[in-house]
Amino acid sequence: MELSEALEKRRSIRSFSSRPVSEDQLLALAQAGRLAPSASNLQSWQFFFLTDPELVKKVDLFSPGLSGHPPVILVICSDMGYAKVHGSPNSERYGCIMDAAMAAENIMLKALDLGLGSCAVKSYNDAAVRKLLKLPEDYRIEILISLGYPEGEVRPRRLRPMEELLHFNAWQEEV
Amino acid sequence: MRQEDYLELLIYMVTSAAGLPGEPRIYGPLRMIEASERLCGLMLKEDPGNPDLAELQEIIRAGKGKTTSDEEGFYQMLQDAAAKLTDMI
Repeated sequence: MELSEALEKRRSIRSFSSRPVSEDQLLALAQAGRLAPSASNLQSWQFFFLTDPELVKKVDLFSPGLSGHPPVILVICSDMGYAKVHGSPNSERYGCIMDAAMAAENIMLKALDLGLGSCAVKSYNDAAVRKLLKLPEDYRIEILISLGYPEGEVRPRRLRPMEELLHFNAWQEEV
Repeated sequence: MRQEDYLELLIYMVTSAAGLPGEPRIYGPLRMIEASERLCGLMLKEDPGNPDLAELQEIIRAGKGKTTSDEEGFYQMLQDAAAKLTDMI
């Protein structure tokens, strides 16, 4: 799929079929994620693909923002211990979050390319998901992404008008 | 009714309450109506032929996804769902 087409077509998918996602597809998604830009080239991201149905169901239960019963949930974490040693104070403040977000977009576009749907989710219970995944103390959960084959119709897209967002050069008051 | 069904609803409500202080304002009504839809589903398990419950569930399902694309439509759905309940008392 051409990049421009993928950018236009990518939507947040909130309904999934039970069709399984292959390990090869997940590896391709991980590869897309690690190709993303990273502040100071830190790459402190850690990708957890949840494929065990029991674990997926439990994380789903504790994530009110997840919907559509995805067969796979990706949990992107940052290894803050690694970031502390190899990064800077800004890595903790925003660098790792930015990195995870950029990796997430790469992964969601690659998912579309593979015929998969995805939805980025921040509405999860951090304490519960940490416990379910048995995460090390210095791992920070940045974002969840639901993954699977889409089912049903996609909702209409609402975009703010370009004129509300676009500027050339310095900010100017409207006349 | 299986205890597990209640537990799933309970988890949804508690985790929603825990997360809502940091969420957009519209997510409050969204989580409430989502919980209502799930409760409606549990009631339908006990009374599968109830047309009012089925219609209420359909009203909610059709409108709950509008939070990020059509706020007015979402709030209208809440009113429609509330009005539907008058058929059930």
